Amino acid sequence: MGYLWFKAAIIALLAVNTAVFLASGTLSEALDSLAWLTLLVSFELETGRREWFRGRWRTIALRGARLLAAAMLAAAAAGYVRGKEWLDAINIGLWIGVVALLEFEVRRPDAAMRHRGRFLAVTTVLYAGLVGLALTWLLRGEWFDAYDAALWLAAFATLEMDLLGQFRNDRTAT
Amino acid sequence: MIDTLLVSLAVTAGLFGLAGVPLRCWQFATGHFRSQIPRHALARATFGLFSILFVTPNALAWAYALFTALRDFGCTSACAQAGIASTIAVGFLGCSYVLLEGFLLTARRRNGSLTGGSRLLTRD
Repeated sequence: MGYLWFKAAIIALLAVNTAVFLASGTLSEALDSLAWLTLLVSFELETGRREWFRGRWRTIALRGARLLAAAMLAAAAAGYVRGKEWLDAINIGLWIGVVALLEFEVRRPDAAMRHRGRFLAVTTVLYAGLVGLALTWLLRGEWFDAYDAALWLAAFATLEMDLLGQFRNDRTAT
Repeated sequence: MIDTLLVSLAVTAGLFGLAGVPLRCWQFATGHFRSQIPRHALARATFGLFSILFVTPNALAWAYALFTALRDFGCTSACAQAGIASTIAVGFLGCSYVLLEGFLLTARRRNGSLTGGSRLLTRD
């Protein structure tokens, strides 16, 4: 129960940050934040509420939302590059890497287990990069960006441990 | 009003963190959680990685809160707004401690409440 409250609190705080970016950030920041929030919620729904997505239209809605989020991310990345906001552009790249690994973990769990050494090395590099970016923002006095980055790290760490817990269920069942 | 409430919550969590962070560090160091996390190697390795990610800022925030409190309370003269820095430091510790506890809650969770995620992993 406490676990669900924690997850809900993290998502609520991220939604507040997205609202702040929508209200007072640049267009790229708003698109970036909104896209990641959509992806996080879709991951949560797909892993925790799988039975909700049995119907054709619901599956189409979920995939449509993801496609829209991907398009928003591409637009945000292009905006960052054009505005020479390199930290934000690198941040998007690293998060795309994390999500790609997560997708791989979900869809090919056996392959992830077989190559766990490489898998962990890439994960370490990606998360180290993200921590580095959060620290850079903190050192530059951009505390809101640093706080937002830390919150995203916590959200994805939680999601990843959650997925691995489910993976355990699957492995022990077979 | 809401600001006061949020700061109070953060400081309260920080006060718990003053005792909780060294305890959690000790538990990580002695492998206390080993039996409570998923057994496969990938989960263990990922847990190890995220543990470092969560424990390091907590340990730093704990040390800083303690240092600030000692400096504030050791101040005998010309101490404008003594205690403010300690309160802020303890508040920051509270924020990071809540994230640490939330992470542990997720990692150690038994999957009784799971509703269908394991099916997701077998669909291929």
